[in-house]
Amino acid sequence: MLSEIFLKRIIYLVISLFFIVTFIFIFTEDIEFDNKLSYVDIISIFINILLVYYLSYFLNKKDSIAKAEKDLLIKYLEEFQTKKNQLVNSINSTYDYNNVAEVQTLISNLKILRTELKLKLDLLVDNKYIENNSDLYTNTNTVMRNIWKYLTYTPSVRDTNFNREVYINNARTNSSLLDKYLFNIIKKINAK
Amino acid sequence: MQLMTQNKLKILVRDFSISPGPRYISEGPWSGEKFRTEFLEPELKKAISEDKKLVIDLDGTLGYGTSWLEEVFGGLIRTGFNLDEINKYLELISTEESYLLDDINEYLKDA
Repeated sequence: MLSEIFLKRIIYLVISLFFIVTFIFIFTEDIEFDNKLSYVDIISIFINILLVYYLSYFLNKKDSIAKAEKDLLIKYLEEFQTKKNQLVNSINSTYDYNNVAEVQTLISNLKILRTELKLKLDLLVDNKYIENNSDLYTNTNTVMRNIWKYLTYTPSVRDTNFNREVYINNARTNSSLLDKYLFNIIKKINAK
Repeated sequence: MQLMTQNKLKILVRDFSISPGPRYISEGPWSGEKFRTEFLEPELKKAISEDKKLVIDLDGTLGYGTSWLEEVFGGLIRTGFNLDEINKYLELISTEESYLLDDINEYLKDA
């Protein structure tokens, strides 16, 4: 990795020097060389090389830090997405909502997911990738809330038309919407 | 479960259960109905009569189902407490899941 960056810098330097020398020869007719090299010239060349090397080093370093930050944030979101999809896909019409322990595990996992998403979105806000009053921020939190709501709902005595299948389908629809919003967030991260 | 600090009464839900359960008592242990009828309603009545705030600390549990929350807080309205009274005397706190406060406000308004 390091040698690759170093090689890139050398190539930039050689290409730049090539263009400068070509420009001088083509567009400057009165140029004359005295074929002498003073100590000042040698020091000047040395300083110029150092300058080019350090400038490219710092610019590359800044770029690689920003890229690492973006990659890390995207990885966070993708990890969340994988966990969320596993959870949502595990709930189907055969899921036993009468098993108190199983339902409690589901609720607990949803708490972890919802909190995790909120923290990750806040991290993106803190790092100025998205704004906390933006539609994207609000919609992403809302669809996660809907998934929690549909998957942990049990009917009240007043709710005579309750259909579990409909609620599971609604959770899946919101899960797909969440995937869409996460994709748009990743696009925003990459575009910055 | 009930603590008193200055002019406030306090209920820690985690002392009721770290795993709040279903909506109704008939559906299983640690239900929303049980929490509301045995703990919340008596304490809220006491807070109103003594003109004190009742703080409900929601942190420290494994998580809440939407039905548990709806039964507890929506149930308050259905059993005769009015929204102004609840807003005046009930204070909800959650640092772990701050979004729950918005959810609960919605249940209170919708009930």
